[in-house]
Amino acid sequence: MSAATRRIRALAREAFPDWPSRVAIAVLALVLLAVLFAPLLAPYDPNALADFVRDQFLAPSMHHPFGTDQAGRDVLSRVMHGGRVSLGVAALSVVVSVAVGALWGAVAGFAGGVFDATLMRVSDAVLAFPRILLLLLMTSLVRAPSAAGIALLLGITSWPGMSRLVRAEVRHLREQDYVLAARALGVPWWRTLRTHLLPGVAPQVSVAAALAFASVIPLEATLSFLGLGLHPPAASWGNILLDGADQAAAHWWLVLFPALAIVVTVVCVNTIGERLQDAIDPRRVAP
Amino acid sequence: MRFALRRALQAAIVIAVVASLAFVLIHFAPGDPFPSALDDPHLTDALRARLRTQYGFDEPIVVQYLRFLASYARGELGWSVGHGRPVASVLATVLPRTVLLMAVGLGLGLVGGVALGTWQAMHRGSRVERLTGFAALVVLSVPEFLVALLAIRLFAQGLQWFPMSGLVDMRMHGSMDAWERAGDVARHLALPALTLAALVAAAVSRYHRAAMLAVLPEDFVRTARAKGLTERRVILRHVLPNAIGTALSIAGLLIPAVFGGATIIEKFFAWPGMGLAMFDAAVGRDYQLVVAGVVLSGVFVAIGSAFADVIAARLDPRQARR
Repeated sequence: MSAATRRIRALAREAFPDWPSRVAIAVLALVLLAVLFAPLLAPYDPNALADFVRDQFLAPSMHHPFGTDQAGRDVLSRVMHGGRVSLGVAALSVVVSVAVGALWGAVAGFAGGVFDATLMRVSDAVLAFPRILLLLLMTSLVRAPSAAGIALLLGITSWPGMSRLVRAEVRHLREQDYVLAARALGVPWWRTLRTHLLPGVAPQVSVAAALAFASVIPLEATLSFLGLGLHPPAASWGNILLDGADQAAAHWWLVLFPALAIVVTVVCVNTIGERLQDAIDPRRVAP
Repeated sequence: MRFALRRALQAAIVIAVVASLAFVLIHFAPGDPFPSALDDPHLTDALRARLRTQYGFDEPIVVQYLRFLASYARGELGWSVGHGRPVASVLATVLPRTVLLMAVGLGLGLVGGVALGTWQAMHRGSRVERLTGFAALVVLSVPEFLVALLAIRLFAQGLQWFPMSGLVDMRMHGSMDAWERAGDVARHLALPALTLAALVAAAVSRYHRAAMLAVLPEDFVRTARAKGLTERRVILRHVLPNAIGTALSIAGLLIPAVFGGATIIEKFFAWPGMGLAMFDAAVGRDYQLVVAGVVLSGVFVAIGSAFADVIAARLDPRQARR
């Protein structure tokens, strides 16, 4: 076993010492596999308009574990394919948020002074915008936004939190001896930032990214449920919920399974994210 | 005191930046800040041009910006196209309703969250502690609209404890006396406020529990125990006051989230406050109302977080020096 594998193993043991976090990892892996390989694994075509007189509103059974919807479509297949949209949009939005937030916070924290104060007041101001309102406004301006467009909107409304985190961490690291040494040696500021500071904030940023991922999934579902997200036939978990909401009283499986998909995924990601947070930050008290 | 002043100044700057950002956002939007009036196909190009001149949309953006700031400084917030009356008058109607919802929801949630977090810290490792902790995580992981829909289904339609939605009973409210009216509003308030409180309590309890556990190993706690104080007294008089700052600043930080959450909650419970008005304004492109709402919530957020910081500094002077 190489030193690297040993270190990862030790970290994993430290990060996931209890059964809830291990269950969370297992369940999340299962969800990710099912979603990632949906085209191969899904039992039916998610958008197939079959004989809907015969196949409409079938209760969950062996043939349709999650039942069928008003158009006779298999809900399990729809949830699996919908996950590709939901999780894909969430992941892309986190990438945007991390890219913008890390750059903004790193530059502010590294520069200091008036520049820092200016950048941080702007980030405070964006943070003070009610995010949902900003999203409603922007999605209503863009008619029929694409999945990438939604991800972009979700990302550019969530970077300020990330920037504050990175700034605080960079300001802390900036005073460390090895960084002072690099500056004393005349290493240009951008290279100091890249080789000495950004790697130092990577653990915090990845944990924050995991928690941001968990928080953006319900947000996207909310937008889609309000009819402001993706438009059919593209369907995220929020769209599937919206489709089923009318018949929820008589056909519970139409809302239960997409809702469960959201909640289970988010709970798992949150659990893992928090354990990682405890593992990298000894100041926090482990639960 | 100097800390409070500095924090107030920062808050003022943030509010100014929020207003500027709102202005920029609206001017990035396609069309004029008067879309529904100017999109009207019956308008001739000449009339449209005259309207643009009349409202000053043809002037350089800097002039428009300065005039925007000047009119806000005078307290003129513009005209709501959607409501057909001044923005200030719309806000005057909806704001008290949201403040009522937020005060009750945030207040109950804060008290409930602190109580739960304290209890959890005292019973660390017990089964109920783990169960309630997990329940809080689940509540925070469910989209707010699902919590709202579930609450309506369960408590309004199923058990019929509360009315489903709205501010008052439309049919009966007119014939009620003052007390009955207050009771009517309270019954309609209960479900959205409790839903909001549950969300806030879930968030607060998690942070407060961690803050309590961080204080427990301190020397003064050991001293208090060594004096022979009861565990209850140690927790309530020595640990809680030193840990409460976290919950307060979380509550301050939650104001924007609650404002956002309140938009969703107001939407699904049809509570006709700020959130619902903003929702309709954003979707219906009632720009001047949106800008005013954004600036106002920026004011709330800036004051809220400044207030939370100042209170935290009062409780724990170490905070002010950071």
